[in-house]
Amino acid sequence: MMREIIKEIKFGLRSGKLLILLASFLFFALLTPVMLKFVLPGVLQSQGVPSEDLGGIMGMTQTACIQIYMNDVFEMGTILVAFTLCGLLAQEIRDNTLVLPLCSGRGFGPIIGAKLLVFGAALAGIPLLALIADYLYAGLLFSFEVELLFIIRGGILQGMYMVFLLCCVIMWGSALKRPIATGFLTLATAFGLHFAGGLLGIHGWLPSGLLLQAQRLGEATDQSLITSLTITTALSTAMFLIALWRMKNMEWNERHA
Amino acid sequence: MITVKGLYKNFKDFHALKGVDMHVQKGEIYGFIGHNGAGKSTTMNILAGLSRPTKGQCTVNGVALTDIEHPGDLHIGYLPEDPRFYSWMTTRETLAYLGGDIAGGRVNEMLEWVGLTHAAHRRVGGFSRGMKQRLGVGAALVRDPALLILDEPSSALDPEGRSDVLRLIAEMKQMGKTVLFSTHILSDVERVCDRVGMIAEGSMIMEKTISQLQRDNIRPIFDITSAVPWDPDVLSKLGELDVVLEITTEGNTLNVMTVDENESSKRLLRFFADRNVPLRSLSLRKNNLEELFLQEVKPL
Repeated sequence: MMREIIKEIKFGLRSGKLLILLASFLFFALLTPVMLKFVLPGVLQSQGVPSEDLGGIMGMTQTACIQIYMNDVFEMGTILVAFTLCGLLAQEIRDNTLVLPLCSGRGFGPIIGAKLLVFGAALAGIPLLALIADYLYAGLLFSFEVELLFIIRGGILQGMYMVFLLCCVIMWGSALKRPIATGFLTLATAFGLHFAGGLLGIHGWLPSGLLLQAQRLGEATDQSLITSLTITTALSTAMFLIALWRMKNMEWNERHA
Repeated sequence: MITVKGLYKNFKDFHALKGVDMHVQKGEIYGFIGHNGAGKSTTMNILAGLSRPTKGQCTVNGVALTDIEHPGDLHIGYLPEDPRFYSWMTTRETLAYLGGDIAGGRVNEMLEWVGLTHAAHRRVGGFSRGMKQRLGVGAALVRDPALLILDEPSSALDPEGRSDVLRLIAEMKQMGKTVLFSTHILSDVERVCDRVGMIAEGSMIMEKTISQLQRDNIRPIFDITSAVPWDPDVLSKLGELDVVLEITTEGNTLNVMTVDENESSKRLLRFFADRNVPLRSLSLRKNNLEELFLQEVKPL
């Protein structure tokens, strides 16, 4: 298992995937305060809105800034994770790069497990890091009004949602064996669940509930967080097991047209 | 080391294998030959545990294929037709990763053996086909398996690359390994194999040791050129000689396959002398595996 983990770390670093994820999340995290503090007021002023009315039009605060960024995390973050990692398993199956490791005795569990562990750890850590960066920069530009504890809680919940997306990518990758199709189906799953949650009012019963809970800055957790966490963990585990089952029942070394 | 009985493989409506039987004994190099699309790679994939047979019994390295849950359970070395490595890994990392805990100090040994020591720290993504193939041979052997299954190891290589790979296969035999390798290059089989299996359209059409082949199938061929076009009547009479097995014509040259060399040469010379045929040349050669293959495959 250790060799698989080292392999995935090297892959993540050398392919630039970990760097892309980190840089993209940090970019959005740092861009939001800049947009709110400098760009947006400039745009509105150029449209003839008096500068003293700007505060009334939008909340120029650290809280508003963090919440705008958190919305971006769902939309842009989901697209980013789905398409950066869509080939994580699908490409390996399609390119037959797993054939030699399998013949060398590498187990299906360690192969998928290492991907989940390495990229899961990265996806759990990066949103937290980016949210802290957003919190600090927004605090510097406006003023500190949110407790760091809520930021850490929000970052962890966003990270858990990203791990759920990673499980989606792995499961669809094992089923479809096509990276781009995997990316689109992961997007469809994430957005589908989110819209269903909104439409039926069942976010608390879905992984998307984690993102809503993350946005509750200054509020204590409630029972629905436990439900969302339990369901997300159960769904992620189920998707991991489905991917494992698919791998065990797959015909390897197929020729692709 | 490998026993295959009545192996069938269907891909939806396409019948890729139609009852293949095969026996590979310990310590031998088995050449598995056939046209492209004959079923070689399908058979190899099944024997490597990567694909499941539709029907049939296969025992590889003492393990029944029905009993395995993972290709690694077979403990064999496998080289696919088009070996795919992680392009971002270096040669040394690739061998160490594929060797696992077993590899240990064998990585350096393998690098030297396949002649890639100079490229130990180069990323595999920039390798030529020949270098990848040599790395594949090293990767198949790094865990020191008793049985190696190599799918078209010398195909698509230049003559130098082919010669390198064949040398490595011959050296495997000296190491006491059993090797099953497939190819459509028949001269490669003649160079290194102990036993040959021929497959065509998913069915085995022949399986013999090289010595059996030479005894039973490799026949003398007299290439006879006449100064004048051949008289059909003469050819018809020639075909009736009991020493003559087969006659083919190429312009003014006859290729006459006979049962033996000495008695046949005497009979042929007497035959043409009796009929005053003006011969320009008569030379003796042996038919090769290629001719034998074409001869065996033709009826199908």
